[in-house]
Amino acid sequence: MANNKNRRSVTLHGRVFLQGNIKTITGLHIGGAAGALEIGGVDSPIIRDPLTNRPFIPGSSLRGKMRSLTERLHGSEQNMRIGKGVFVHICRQKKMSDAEYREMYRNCPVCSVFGVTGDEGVPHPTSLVVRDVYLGDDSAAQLDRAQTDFPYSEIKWEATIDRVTSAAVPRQIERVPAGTLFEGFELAYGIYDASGRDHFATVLKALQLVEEDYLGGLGSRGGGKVEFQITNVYARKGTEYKTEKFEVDGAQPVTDHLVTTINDWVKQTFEDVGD
Amino acid sequence: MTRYTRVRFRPRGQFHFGGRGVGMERSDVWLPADSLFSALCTVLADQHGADIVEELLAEFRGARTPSDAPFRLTSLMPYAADVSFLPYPMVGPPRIPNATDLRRRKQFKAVQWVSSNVFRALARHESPTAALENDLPTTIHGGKIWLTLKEKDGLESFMARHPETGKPQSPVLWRTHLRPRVTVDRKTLKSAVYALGGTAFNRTKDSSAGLYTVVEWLAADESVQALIKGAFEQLGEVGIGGKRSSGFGQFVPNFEDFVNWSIGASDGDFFTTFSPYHPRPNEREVIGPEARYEIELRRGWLSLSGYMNLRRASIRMIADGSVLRWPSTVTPFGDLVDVTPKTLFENEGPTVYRYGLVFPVRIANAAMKPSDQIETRRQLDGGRS
Repeated sequence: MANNKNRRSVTLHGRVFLQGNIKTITGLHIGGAAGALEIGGVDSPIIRDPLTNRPFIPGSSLRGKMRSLTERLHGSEQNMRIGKGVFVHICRQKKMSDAEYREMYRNCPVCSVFGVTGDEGVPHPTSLVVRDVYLGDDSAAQLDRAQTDFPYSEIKWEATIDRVTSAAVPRQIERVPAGTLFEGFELAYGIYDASGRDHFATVLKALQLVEEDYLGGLGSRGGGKVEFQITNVYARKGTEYKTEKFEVDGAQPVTDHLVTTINDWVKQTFEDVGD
Repeated sequence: MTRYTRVRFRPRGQFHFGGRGVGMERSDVWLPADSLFSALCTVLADQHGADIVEELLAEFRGARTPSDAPFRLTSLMPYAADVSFLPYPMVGPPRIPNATDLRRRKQFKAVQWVSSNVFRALARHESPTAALENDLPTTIHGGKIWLTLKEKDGLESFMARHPETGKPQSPVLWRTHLRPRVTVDRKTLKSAVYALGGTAFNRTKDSSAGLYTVVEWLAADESVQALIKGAFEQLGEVGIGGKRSSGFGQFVPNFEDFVNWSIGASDGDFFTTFSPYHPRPNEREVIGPEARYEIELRRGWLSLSGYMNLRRASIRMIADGSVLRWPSTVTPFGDLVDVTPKTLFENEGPTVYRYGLVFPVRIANAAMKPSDQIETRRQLDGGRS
């Protein structure tokens, strides 16, 4: 911990919390690690809770998809190499001073919301936290009764067919059936400065982008369409960390109207936040 | 007056407590007190500014005796329902018949965590009869957790399914696993796959397993106590450990105040610690004769707003569960250690400290002596030779 001689500080003005559920509209496949290679075993298993064996949506999957689509929306330059041929966006460019970089970071809807690696000297910590989302008890009971191929999941057969001979190469894909409800989805967004507050719209837009795209794999083949149901929105602010609530009537879809009203409410709640 | 506060972390998801080495695949089921203290300071600085942390650290550094320090705390250790676990102190097997049998001794050797009832019996050198079955420890989790038969029965509702066969298993309090992760190229959809270790704590309909720490309030007044409790609340929201922005590490804290924590012996020349301990120069006596200890290297990275991640200076500390000699002239205390990275030091940047205060619990002298059985065997062996 630090005894300050060369002052560098960051102030958390508050956090905005978005809570709700995620409903699968089409089969959802978020890949997991195969436990063992076995004859007749599924080729592409889904990720499961290590204790309950129930499928869940990792926060990293949702967050990664939100970030990826936001980068595409803004046409962000793909300049950071993660693996062989895999790139993501960061604001840092060659021959850029620290001051220029920080200014660019502050104005970037991707970096200031979703963060960068720890190797970069940035003005504040990552703003957005996305939690894991677990299968609801009612949906679990429903899937139990439905006697699906595997516990809480179904098998979808796919095949690649030779265009000339029609010979098929089949494969099995495990997925969570359509209509399943994952409960307790939560986003926490930290507000450190005025630009961070103004970037909150990015989070809501990213949710809309995910709804219109897909989560997990098999998206181009119909899988992974999800619907967010917002049930609770509140903020905690100031050093007293007082709670202020945004009224949500039941479980609301992420419509343009809801996005605008939540965004206006966040701006109003944190209007005194300066740079 | 509140002397102790037990803070139970009811998990809201999984934790990633990375260890030493390359890669992110490993995740522990506990977190040392120095990491917990740093996490609390970070959230305090975020919410109240750096000044408040500097004042707090100055109080720790200015303390001459343990009672002058604001507080001290234990490492984060696991609990399940109302059973709290503690590190198995390095006192060896209890005094039980046939303890000299090599096969039996190995079962005690495998134990990593003991329930507080078993710990108390070991520290006071009482026979933990309620925790033995045919002179063998009553264990769960493949022999790693030692508890009483009644406690074991009480935890039977912590049911889990085997990750491969899907068959029910009980009791399972936590499980570590590998979570596959992927970064997908935005343009080509090419993927870079990697794996991340996660620790998941189990829950039942009515209760859960998780992590807890005990804070001993020393010189802290009510306002400091409220500040630290507030920091735990904050930490629950932002998370502890690694990969927090991806949903790891969040929890709901539950506070339980109490006056006495009668866990150890009333007197004795030895003590164990529930936090990594960095002795002050005048406390070197603690590693005197008969002390049984493990030295662990504490190193890692430092996140400081406005700087790139920096590797902090590494230090060695005495590990939790070590049994040390109580010094004859001073009370064991420990220190905040300067671990400022070279880069910061050269640029006259902030000084960085690491928490190394001891959380001592007395061990009875009798607990340190070999059992009668062993002495008898030695005498016999000696006689033969």
